[in-house]
Amino acid sequence: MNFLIKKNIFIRALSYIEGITSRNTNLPILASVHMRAKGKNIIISATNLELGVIVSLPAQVVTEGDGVVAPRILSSFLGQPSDTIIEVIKKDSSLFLKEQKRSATIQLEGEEDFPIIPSISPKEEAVIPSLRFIPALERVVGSVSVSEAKPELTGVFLSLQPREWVVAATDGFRLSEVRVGQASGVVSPLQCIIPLRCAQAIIKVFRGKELEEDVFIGYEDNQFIVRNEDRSVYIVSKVIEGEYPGYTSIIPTQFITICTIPKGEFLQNVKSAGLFASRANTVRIEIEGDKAHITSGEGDVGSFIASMDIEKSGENCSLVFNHHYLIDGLQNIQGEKFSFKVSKKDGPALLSGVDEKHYLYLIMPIRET
Amino acid sequence: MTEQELWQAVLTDIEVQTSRANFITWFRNTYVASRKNGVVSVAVPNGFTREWLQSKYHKAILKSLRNTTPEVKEVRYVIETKKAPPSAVPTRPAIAPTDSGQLAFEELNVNQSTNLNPKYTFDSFIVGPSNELAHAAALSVSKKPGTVYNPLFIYGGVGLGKTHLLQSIGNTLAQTKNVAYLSSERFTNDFISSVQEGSMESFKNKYRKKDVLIIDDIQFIAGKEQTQEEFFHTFNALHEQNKQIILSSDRPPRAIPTLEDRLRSRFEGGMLVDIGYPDYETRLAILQAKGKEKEAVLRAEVLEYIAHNIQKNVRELEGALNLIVASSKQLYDNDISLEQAKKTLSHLIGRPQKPIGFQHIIKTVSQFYEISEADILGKNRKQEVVLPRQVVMFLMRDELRNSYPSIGEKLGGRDHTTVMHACSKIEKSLQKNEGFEDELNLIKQQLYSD
Repeated sequence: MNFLIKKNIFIRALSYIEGITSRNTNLPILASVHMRAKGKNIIISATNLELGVIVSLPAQVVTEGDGVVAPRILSSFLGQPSDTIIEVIKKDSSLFLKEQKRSATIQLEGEEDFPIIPSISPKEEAVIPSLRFIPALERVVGSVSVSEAKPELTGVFLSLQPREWVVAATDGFRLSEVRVGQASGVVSPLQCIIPLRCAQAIIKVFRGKELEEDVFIGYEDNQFIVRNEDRSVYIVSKVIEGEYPGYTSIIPTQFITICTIPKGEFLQNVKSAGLFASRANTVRIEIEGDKAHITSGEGDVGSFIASMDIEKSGENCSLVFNHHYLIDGLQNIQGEKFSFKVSKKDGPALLSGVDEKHYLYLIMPIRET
Repeated sequence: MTEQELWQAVLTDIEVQTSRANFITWFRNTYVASRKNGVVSVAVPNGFTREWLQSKYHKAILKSLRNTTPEVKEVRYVIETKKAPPSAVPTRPAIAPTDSGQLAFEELNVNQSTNLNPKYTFDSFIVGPSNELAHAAALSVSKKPGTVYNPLFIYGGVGLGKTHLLQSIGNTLAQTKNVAYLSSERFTNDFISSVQEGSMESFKNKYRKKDVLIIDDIQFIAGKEQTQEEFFHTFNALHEQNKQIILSSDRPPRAIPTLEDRLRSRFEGGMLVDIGYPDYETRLAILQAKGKEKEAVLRAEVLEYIAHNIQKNVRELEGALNLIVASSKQLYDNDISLEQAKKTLSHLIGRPQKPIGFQHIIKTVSQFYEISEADILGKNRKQEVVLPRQVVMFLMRDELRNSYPSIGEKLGGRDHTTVMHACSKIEKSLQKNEGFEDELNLIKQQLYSD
């Protein structure tokens, strides 16, 4: 195997592929990536046996061939991105890398042991522009549960219908949902739960590409497949077994308090309040008249109060929240102002944009003793 | 040789040929899914395993299989994951990051695929004479579904625990079987939309493939011909395969109008049990259990007062208890006294039950049996008159709590022993004869409805 490749392209691909590798004591080769020089491309694959990612990079191939190498050392040698050309030559069982005045030799591992990533072409695929799909995933992925107590919540819920698609995630305390009404070439509806790591890989890989492109989404045999049009990006993952809870019923439709609040200022205040929060991460939001008061300070650090002008209709209220959850939600809302609605005491609050209607964030308060 | 033994032989062969690491990685969670006509289907957990076994181990697997079973011609690999058991009923809804009082979305606790609420279990069901038969039957069914009582039909008035029992059975069985719990209204709606969308096949598959089908409030399919027809077929399909069916209703099958005969006879062909109104001891036990659940400490006299005065259904009991607990916390410093409790509940208990007098009873009963009021008071001893007269006596005792002598007096100067005899006779009839109980309930309904 012998090829030449632009350092930029090589480094970028390695950065998102590296995250897929895993330390598996039974199969150590999973910590490495597989490279294949073929035609006009270098095809790099990585897998942890639940998720597999294959990317194709343009390169000048002198001799075709395969090699399996630990990506960490490779990317460390490559260092900072630049336009220089790297030459890669396989010699026996090592990889020789040359960049202008620097070179290195890295031990290769046996290719025969590297797992085969299933190449699936689903009969039906939905098509969504990455410009829409990737930001949607990014907005919900932070709400995925990290606790294994309920496995169905450890992934992103995806629902594709002919006229609408939805991604959502919740950990039981807060919920994020992006709902887009748009024909997506879906013939038969698809619903599945995408494992967190797969969602993160999809975001990383598509964000790494400069151009926007269409994302092709398919499902077959319990495997979830995402690719771009020319298959230079291909991701396959198992789905999470089980049914996602029907969460739409918990989204309140009646509210006792409805406010419109300047987002930037509020977010800043919550962050500051968070510095003074006790170990329980509590921050109090008090809505009184046309003002909002953000306070914290049950801990030993000190205390904090901020007041701001808001628009409000309905009753006054006072709620305590985990400030991390509040910040997570606020950071995903677009626009200068956001809408803050309270449904009932000890019930969820609904945060959403004022002009943009796709995203909603539901957050449960902390009970006051 | 069973499929398990067959695969065990293969695994033993392969294990010596490959490194331990590889063996564990690729062969864990594999098993033989089926064996038919010389084709063995091996179940694998994911696409990666399938690819690997197909390209690297296929020859070895085929060879090993042929060693024990020469007629094996072909080996296929299918991706099958054992359905994870529905999240084991957790004691705490979700894991809060710290013990901070962070609340969780309440409704997410309902197990969506089975529709069951984890709070309804046999442990939380208080047993008393009014429901012990239903409870025993439910427990039996949960231990041996499909074999002892099929179908199980539980009926009784509002708020007495039918749903609790049904869901208890569901929650117990959901850990190992495919359970569906739904109201007959949902079944009907599902059926209608399937017809409209043309997805009848998937509707049939959905319900006829369950191991346990639990339908609450089945009386609501009365009058809906097509739904009843579909339910009839679903019932048969499940029953034939000894899949457990459990139904609940507010009245026995015989008393559901416009229920098709063939459905009625099928319901009656199973085990029919009723849940009656709880007696005082049971009510008190329920209050004590729920009080503990809410972590409220209440004086015994307060609980006894509630148990004495709220007699009709458990929901009302719980409502009264909630009210007391809330007032106790907010207004009485967590130690509400009997007097204060009486005051709090005054509007609940003193709810104007339409005051009925004995004349009203006589009027209603005589109308019901289509005889004249004079007959009731008179001396006629014909059976058509005697029975209604005895019913009047019973109702005056039961509803108005009049003494035997005063009843005798009001009904034409009769002796108190006559009244005693009438009351005990009616009580015996009530126990022996279900149809009669329904009759009496209907009369009571009319008593209170004008």
